[in-house]
Amino acid sequence: MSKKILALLLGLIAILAAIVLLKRNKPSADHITIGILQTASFPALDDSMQGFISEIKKELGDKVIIIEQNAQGSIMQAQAIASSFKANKSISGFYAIATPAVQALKSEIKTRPITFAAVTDPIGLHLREEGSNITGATDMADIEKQISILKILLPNVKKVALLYNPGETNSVILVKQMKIALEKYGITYQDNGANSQADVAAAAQHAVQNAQAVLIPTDNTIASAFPIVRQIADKANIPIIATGTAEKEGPLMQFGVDYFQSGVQAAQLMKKMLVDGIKPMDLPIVAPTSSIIISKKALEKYGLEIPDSLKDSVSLM
Amino acid sequence: MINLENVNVEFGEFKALHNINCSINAKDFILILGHNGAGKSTLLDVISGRLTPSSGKILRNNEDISLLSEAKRARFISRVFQNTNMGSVATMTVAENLAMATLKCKTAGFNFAIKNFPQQIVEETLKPLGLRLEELLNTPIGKLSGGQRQIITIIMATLCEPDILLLDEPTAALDPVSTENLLQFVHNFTKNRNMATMMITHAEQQAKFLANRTWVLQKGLLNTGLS
Amino acid sequence: MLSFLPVVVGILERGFIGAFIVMAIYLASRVMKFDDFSIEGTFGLGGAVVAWSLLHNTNPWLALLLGCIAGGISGCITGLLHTKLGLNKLIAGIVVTTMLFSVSINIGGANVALGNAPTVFSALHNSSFASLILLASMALAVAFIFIWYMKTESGFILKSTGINEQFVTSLGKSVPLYITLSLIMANALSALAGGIFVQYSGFFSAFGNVGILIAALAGCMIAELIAINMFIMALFGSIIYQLIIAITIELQVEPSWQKLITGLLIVVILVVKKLENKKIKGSVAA
Repeated sequence: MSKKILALLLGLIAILAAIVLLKRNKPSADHITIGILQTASFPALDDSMQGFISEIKKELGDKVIIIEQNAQGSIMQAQAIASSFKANKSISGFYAIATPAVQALKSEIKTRPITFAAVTDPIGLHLREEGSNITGATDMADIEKQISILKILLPNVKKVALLYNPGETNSVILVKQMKIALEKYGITYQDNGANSQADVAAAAQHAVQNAQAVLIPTDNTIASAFPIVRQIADKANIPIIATGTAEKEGPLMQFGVDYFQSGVQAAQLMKKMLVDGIKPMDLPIVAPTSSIIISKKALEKYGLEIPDSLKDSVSLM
Repeated sequence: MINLENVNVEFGEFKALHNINCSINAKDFILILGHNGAGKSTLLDVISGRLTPSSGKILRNNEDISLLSEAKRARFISRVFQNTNMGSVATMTVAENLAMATLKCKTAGFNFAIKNFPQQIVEETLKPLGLRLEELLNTPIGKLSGGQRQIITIIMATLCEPDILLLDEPTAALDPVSTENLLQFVHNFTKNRNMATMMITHAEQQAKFLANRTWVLQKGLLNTGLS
Repeated sequence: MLSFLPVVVGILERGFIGAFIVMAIYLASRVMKFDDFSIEGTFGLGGAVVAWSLLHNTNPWLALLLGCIAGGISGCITGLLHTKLGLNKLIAGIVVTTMLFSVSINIGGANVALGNAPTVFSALHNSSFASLILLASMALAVAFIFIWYMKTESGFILKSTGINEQFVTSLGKSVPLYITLSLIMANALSALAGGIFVQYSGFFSAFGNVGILIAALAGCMIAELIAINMFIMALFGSIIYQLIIAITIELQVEPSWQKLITGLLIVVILVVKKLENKKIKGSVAA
């Protein structure tokens, strides 16, 4: 091996060692350190982060030290962060936002507690097997309820377009459930996949041409390009029904999962594990508080009225 | 051995070669003369398979090879280019290049390639030259001078006993001394072989002593009558 | 020091996995001068095939082999698109990557966890060093296979194809064949890395290959900076890259800047290389 490589390697290792030794505090009784791994920067995920931080500060006050990391959508990066977390013994609990983050943490951290938010299918991901150190808040909405309300609000709709990114695991799971519910209520459907934000406009165009309503699951790709979807749907006069977008106006009906609230719930679970010493498996997974929001503007636009049977279960905006 | 029958090459409107008929026999050394753009390189292209003729036939021992790819013809038609880098791999050593040249007569397998190094070349060809090329065997061929490289390239091109060797202005990039050396080498190297040689050159006077036939190309027309 | 060791082990493990992709990039971009974007896609494809295989009770080693074969087929397609249909190299790679995204999510799903399916690492979980040793020996074995291959007759021709296609044709060898062959090998390597990564992390994600290409390119350039034998250096390049990433993580660099850092890293390497070339100008021509 040449001297150059040796010098480069040793130099880098020395820098790393210095940082690790200088920056890491010893675990101490009066502080609790929490490592947060966020998969990527999307509005919903950012909300989960805010919710968690505000709640955990409320619960634990100044005692809490937070180490925030974001994998920026790279799984390799998520794995690298998880491995850094694993080595940092001063961290007593972990918070994972979205599926890849919790999977990366799961593969590295086997004993210290992990909570998650913005994960749709924790059982399918094998997060809750015997002796698991993981619990958290799902964002699985009550799809059947959503479809049943859709049927009451828009009785004439025979065909809906599903608009989502087939590469997002949460969307795939929700769409599967949507299809089951739609079949049950005798509504036909059509898939419109957008693999990236660049494809959203084309997929939305196709969606509005082929159906009487557009149905969007919790989908980060669609959510981040939502303004264009709204524009296209408005032009075509087709209502949008969404499961939680960051957009408050636009969809006729929004079956909102409150991601800020999910973060709050995850923080409460974290406190129960760290402060009260409850085992993760004794803390069941928390379902989201979901509300049905109907847009007044959209109601007027489509000349609709809310039937009496629904008045109690929805809120107008 | 190689016969061209009514070969035409057209690039759109432009006729690069016009109704060429000629035959090349074993032991021939043919000098090809002509102005720039007369079709000299095109003639070699059509023989070596870089170009497919627009019409006409190329026969080898009475077998039509007009549609055979350049790679397939390489087994019996070798070509050396004016650019001294074209005939070898600059980053590899002289020995490695020579070893690789032997792969022309067999399929490339998984033996160590360097084992194919043609040892007899050193004694038979390199040492008698007196140019000390045998001391450069482990030097990357890209570091040799143009003249040295061209000599190695010609040796490489003939390792598998081709029917015909096509030399496309091999001395164009060389200084006068190297040109003299190379021509002398070509002469000694080809005179006792069975193979035919065709050489394009602008150095007619210097190269005349090599040839038994001289052809002249003019605007795509071939005159073979100047033997 | 105890908290430092696991960091280093993690860096080495990810470095060895990354080394396969660095070797793939080296083979395609440097040896064959074919910048193949589909290497990013085949990383995902290999992962998807391995995830699918493991969930269908396949032996984990066999699963890796299947992943490699899938990657090889994909590389073959990229090669044929370029050599037979005449597509531009970049376009061929991008087209195949785009198609592979769909293929991968249909094989592996958007995201799938391996659960308790056995992996090549699952038998080793008792010792923290066993996985590292396994990864290191796999990476070294592959590196030595390539070092050997590059000395064979076939390897000589492959190397020559990237430098002088006319010469390879003059030897009566098929240039398209060797271009395709190199892409098959490069993409099989990348798929192998994807498959190993899935077994290592315990899940497959359709976005798992995001950023792989640039990371491997950085690794490849670091490797070239210190080159002795490229296939061995691929290991070091990849490890050093992971070291740098680990430093940025430990420093808690604002994550949104990390990609800028990777880009800057590449620029710095290029500058250093240029300075070095100036220093030794004249002594090395080729």
